[in-house]
Amino acid sequence: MSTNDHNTTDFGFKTVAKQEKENLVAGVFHSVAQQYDVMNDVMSFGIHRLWKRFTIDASGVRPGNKVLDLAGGTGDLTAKFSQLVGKDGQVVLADINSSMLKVGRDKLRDRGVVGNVKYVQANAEALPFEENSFDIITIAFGLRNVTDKDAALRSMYSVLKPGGRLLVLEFSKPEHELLNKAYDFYSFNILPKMGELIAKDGDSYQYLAESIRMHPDQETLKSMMDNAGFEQTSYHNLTGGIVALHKGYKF
Amino acid sequence: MFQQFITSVLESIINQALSLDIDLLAKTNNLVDKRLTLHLAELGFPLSFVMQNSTINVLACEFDQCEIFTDVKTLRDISQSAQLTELIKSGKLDVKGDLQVAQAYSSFANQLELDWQTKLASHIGDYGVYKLTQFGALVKTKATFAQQQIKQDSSEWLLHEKNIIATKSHLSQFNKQVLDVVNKTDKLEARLHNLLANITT
Repeated sequence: MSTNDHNTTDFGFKTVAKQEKENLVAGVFHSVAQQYDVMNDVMSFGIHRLWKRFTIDASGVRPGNKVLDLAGGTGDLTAKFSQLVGKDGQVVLADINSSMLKVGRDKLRDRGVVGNVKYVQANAEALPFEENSFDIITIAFGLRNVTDKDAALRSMYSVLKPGGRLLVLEFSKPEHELLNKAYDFYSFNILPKMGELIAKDGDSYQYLAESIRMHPDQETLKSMMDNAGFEQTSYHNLTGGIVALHKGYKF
Repeated sequence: MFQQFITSVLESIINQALSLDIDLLAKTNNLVDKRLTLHLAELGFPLSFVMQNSTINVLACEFDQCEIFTDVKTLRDISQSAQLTELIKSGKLDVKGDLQVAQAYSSFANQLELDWQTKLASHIGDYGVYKLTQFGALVKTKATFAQQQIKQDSSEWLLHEKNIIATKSHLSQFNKQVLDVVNKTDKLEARLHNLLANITT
């Protein structure tokens, strides 16, 4: 992430005022909410489901746990966590975007996922929960859209219980140059055209490709988590580093 | 992510199969919040099963509630929960944690009644299912017969064509010949002793 000064930040490759980014990102997700799941499957050839399964497997979730699925959007992770925490546990699906939250809530309720799930519209930079509330926090493909990532990480740290863990699943930097080139070609030439065809919104998928390139790489994000107070931070590259799962603990 | 691919496929197959059981909800009540972890020697990573709301979740991680260490062949041999104790005693299976969880899953598997016929009938009709079941039984009978024939023919071939296996009569003749040699050797030994005795005197 690069900033020209304290009042500006990136929106994809563009530089915008910080106050503006939140609205611009909101606009993107209001636009893509209805086709979000379909587009995820099409763009990633279904692989995003395996990335999310990997996150669940790495979470160490137990019955009775309280989980925060941040930027949870259409509820893929929430649906699974709901099954695993059982009736004595709880999952909070939080998202800053009301359209995404609505799609997620409707989808989960249609699937019968009720009882231990709560829905909250919340900003990751200032989470409206008590300190030391959650055993697990996950944020899947959401951190790169946050304006102030450091503030978000500090907020997540605050609401995590001692012994709790944060899992950040996000696009990252491919490990090999050849893969990087192929990935660049795919992101900038194919994705926006898919977005235009399926979601009727090529610009939003152009932003997707650009925002991925502006997101911190694996080591940088690890350092950011360390600075926010997390300990034993680590990351695991998936699909050659196209995606990385970062994990950190609060002790 | 190979592990996640495997768990994803397994989960899908198991849940589709379970949906064919007409009384699934009642049978799964006993498994709620019971977590079984399977460590199969052939697999290299743990498989965990968590039942919730009549849906099985399959994960590539371990829980310490009940862990079973075994292999695929032994797993196939488990048909009753009573066998678990026998397999543990014989060393083919090791259980860490709550054995009752393993017994609950084993009991659940035995109680399943997968009504695939009703599901198929909705696609091809009752008569179609009936003919398919008949055909399946016919194929099974013919396959069993063919298997027996092949086994018999290959034994005959090894015995008579290739002379690789000895018949009963060959074996008894050989044994008789061996006994004759033993008797002759004993007689020769006795004569040698007599000769030695005569020489020394």
